[in-house]
Amino acid sequence: MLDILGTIGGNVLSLPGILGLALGMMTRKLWLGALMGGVIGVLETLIFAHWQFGNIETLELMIAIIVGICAGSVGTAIRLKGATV
Amino acid sequence: MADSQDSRGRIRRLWDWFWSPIPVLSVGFTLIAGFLAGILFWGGFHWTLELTNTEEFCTSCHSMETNLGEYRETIHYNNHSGVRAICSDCHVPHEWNHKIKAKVMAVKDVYHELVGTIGTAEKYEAHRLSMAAAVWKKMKASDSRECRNCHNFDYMDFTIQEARAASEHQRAIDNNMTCIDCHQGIAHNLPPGYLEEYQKVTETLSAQAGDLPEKHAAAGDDIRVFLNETTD
Amino acid sequence: MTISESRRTFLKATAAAATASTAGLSLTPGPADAQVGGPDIRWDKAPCRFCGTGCTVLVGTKDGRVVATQGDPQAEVNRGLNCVKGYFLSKIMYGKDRLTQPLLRMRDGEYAKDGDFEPISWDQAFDIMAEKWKETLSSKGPEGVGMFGSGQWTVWEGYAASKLMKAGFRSNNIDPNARHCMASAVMGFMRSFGVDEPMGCYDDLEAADTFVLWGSNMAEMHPILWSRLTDTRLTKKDCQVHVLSTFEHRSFELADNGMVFTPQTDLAILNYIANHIIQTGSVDEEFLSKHVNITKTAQDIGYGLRDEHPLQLAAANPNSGELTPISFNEYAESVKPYTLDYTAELSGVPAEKLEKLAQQYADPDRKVMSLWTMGFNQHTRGSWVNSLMYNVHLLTGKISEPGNSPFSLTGQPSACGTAREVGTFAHRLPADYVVTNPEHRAKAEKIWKLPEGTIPDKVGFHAVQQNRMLNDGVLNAYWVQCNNNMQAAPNMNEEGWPGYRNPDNFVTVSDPYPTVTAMSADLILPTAMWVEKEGCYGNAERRTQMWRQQVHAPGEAKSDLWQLMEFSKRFTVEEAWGEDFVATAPDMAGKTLYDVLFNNGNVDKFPLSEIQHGHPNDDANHFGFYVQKGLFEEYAEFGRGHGHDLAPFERYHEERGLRWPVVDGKETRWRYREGHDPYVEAGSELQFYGFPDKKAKIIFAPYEAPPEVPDEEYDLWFCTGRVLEHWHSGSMTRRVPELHRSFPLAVLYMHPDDVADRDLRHGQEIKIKTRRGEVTSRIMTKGRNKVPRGLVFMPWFDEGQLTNKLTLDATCPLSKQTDFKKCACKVERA
Repeated sequence: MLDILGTIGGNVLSLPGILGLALGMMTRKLWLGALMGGVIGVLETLIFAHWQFGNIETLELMIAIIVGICAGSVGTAIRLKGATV
Repeated sequence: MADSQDSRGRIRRLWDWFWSPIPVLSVGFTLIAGFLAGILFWGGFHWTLELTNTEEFCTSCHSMETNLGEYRETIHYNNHSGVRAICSDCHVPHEWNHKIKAKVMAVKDVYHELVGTIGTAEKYEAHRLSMAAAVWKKMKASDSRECRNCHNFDYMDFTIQEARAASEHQRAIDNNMTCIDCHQGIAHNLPPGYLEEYQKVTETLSAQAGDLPEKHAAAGDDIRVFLNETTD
Repeated sequence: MTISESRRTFLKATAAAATASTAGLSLTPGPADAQVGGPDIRWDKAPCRFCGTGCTVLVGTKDGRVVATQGDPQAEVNRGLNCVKGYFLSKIMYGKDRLTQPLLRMRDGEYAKDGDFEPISWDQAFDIMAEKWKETLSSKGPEGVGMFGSGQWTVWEGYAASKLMKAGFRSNNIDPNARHCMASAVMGFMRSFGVDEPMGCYDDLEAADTFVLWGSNMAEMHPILWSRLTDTRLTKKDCQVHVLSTFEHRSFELADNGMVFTPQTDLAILNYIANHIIQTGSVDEEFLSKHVNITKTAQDIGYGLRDEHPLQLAAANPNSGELTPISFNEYAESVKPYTLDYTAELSGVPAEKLEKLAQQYADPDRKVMSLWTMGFNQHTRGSWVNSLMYNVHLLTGKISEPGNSPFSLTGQPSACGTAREVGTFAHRLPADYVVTNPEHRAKAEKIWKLPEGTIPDKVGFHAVQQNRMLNDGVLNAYWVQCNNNMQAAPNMNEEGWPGYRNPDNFVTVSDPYPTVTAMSADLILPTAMWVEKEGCYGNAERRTQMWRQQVHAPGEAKSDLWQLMEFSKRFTVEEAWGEDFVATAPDMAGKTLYDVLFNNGNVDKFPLSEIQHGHPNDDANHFGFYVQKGLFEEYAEFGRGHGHDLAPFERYHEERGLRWPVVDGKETRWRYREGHDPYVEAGSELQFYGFPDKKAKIIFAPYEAPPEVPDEEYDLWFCTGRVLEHWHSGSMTRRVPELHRSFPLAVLYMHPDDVADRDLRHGQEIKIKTRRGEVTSRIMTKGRNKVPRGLVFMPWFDEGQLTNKLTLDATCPLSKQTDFKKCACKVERA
């Protein structure tokens, strides 16, 4: 349990969370923000696995994508709420 | 569009854009965006800075080839425990302000590499003493700060040191000496004339320091005699 | 890398032997060399050269050199195991600076007290030595000569030395270094039981339910016995181990109840346990009434210091061991003040721990083995505390049966076999006889075929006193054999060193190596070691063990026995006994001491043909008869028939030792108990036959404080002792590279808070100072010993850090054994 929480937290404070949020804030389209966040999740996992597909753990990938999607969505929401354009 | 009624230049337009208020973005949005940008910038900056502290980076310059070869012979490179010190552990301070200062000063290294100041073995030897002296000066002035990142008198076990080492270290503690006073040449070969050079460095520094003159460990015979009489 | 053929066969053979003996078989009876196929190494058994455990080892000899040793799988004591010191036995004789020639201090070709050592011949050595001894005898008489011997002497060396001094020079000034080690234990035995040495044996290590260690660090000092104890603890259900000491050491690792107590309060703790037993109604009243007399001993008896010392002058009954019979109620009243709360407060041990300990003794269903060594014996009330321990076992009847065993552990390999049983003490004769008893003297004179009155009745100088008398110039001709007393004796600066260097004195030291004692002497005699001679030792459980000579001693080194006997040839009885005494026995006139002591029809009785073929025996061949057997059989006459029976000589070469009394070929494991001890009359169950009424004694003694306690200036307790890796003064173990490397220098164990309080650091060079001297060492705050606040501990094996410059020469006034564990010191930076 602690392990999963740790992974989620780690992702939130890393690229999926931060960059995903930032990218989400660049668009008003919710699906696009979520998508970009998810992609960041995939990219980060790949980077940390040194581009070896064998090193990727499914659970970590899932959590990174989910966090990325959530962050991207939140980012778009902030754009929608906090900007008129 | 180049031929709109906007007759300002590109740079002017950029400048104006930067400093005009935006009605469309809320304070919250801007803050959050700025916050995120800061994190991304900071992360990137730190990552890049640490990259310049890696052994691979430091030794990527051709000028460092001799240095690297000498360091590879020493105990800081490899030893029985596998605990080691790389270039940045000794030459780059840990504290932020000292670290940034060192990084800025290191730009000269890039210059010298490009220019080839120590590009050949002969040129390297010609500059060895002055390069060493520069480092000693920094270390002496900082009370061997980088050494003390890892080594600490308080936790040295004199019962497992050799008898001579133990008594010298005790003397160092008692006389407020600093690591570099004795341990010059610990990672790179000693240049000829190092004793006199080191003495000059110490004199320069103590002239600057004013009170608390620091004792010289590795110096001429008269200094050694003076030390033997005063420390026991 | 392939190993040599002989090593491979050796390993195979030992593996086989070990497996076989575990399975309860023994591969072959008879000599061990049959087990190994290779013809190039000869294997034979011998007891280990080191501690009182008395393990048996197999010694491998090849081409005149000892090349290997291993624990003897057939030995009952150690069952194939060896501790790290025993492991390296094959190296101890081959140190680089082994002495091979006599050395005399000379200047310009003549003896000079302040001269430099120069090599001389044996003839010249005995010339000068005899000259000095004759000088002293004629000017001072027998009181001026003295000998300091050893619990590491072989049995016949000690016997020959004792004979030479007491019957030859008619002086009782012979004392062994066992005085520093076991004298208090002896006193405890003699006062409580009337006869020396433990009533139990090592079999108790498997039979007991609870083990209590008092002032003993068995894990380091008796490691093989500790292995057996650990085995019991780990395999027997509900087994418990309690450990008491003045600091936490390795033996605490196994303890269920580890107790650190304030020095000297062991006296109080034992009285508390006795009190607890009485209060909880756990006294075995039947046992008490049938087998025990209750007494109390005189109190306020001083500290064995010089008579002029203020503490001695202040004592009410200095040196008194007077016993007064008391009733049980009086005894109960005497121990009553030692309540749990009082004792916990005084000793610093939490009450629950003390109670747990007492309960083990009180519980009738628990078999308790108490074990102790130097913490009890090197104690200014050592004789008292030994008896207090017996009090507890006697109150509950837990004695002389498997598992119930108050067991005094011996330090040296033959403190029992040689020093105590042969009686090489200032007041003793063989087999527990004493010089002060005219009947005992008469018996000795009869066995020795000497005129009546040969043996002096005046008790001689004991160890500490010998040093004082050398210092005062009372003792002038002195011979030290097989010990390193300059390093080992207390108060070196004030009493030890000045005596040896006193220009009035001529000091001879026999040793294989140039120890500090040898370097302090005037004449050094190179001595043969261990298996360079045929020998015999007796260990802590009364097991006498013999070994054959395996190799020759190097150069001109000779055994202590050879030296003693050759020296005796230099004296006529007129020179040694005085003309007047010879006149009373005219048939002795003109004879040498050698004639009357060693050519007396007993010692020279057995011919060389009785020596086992295939083994050298340099001493016997030199003298022309089987001298070891002759001495042994004459000595055995003392003990046979009155409780100290030894088996015939040959048996010991066959067996891995036998525990005396050996009657009708059978050894005794538990003394005083019917069925085990042949001296107990049928139907009487238990008899403490050391006393005429066959009862043991309970002896009450109170807590009394030590002579020197920490104060304002000297604010720390100074305790000394040993480490596993080194034997005694390190003269042998420090010359084995592996042992030296494992613990190269002495250190001072100190509590980290005490260190910090003095602005010092772990590893820092410091000076330890007492009122008597100072030593430079380094602080150690981690490792095997965790001392409490206010106490420091130092091992004494390092001749570069002479611990005994610091110690106080206070002794138990009854046993005369020095208290090396308690005095006051301070620590400051060097």
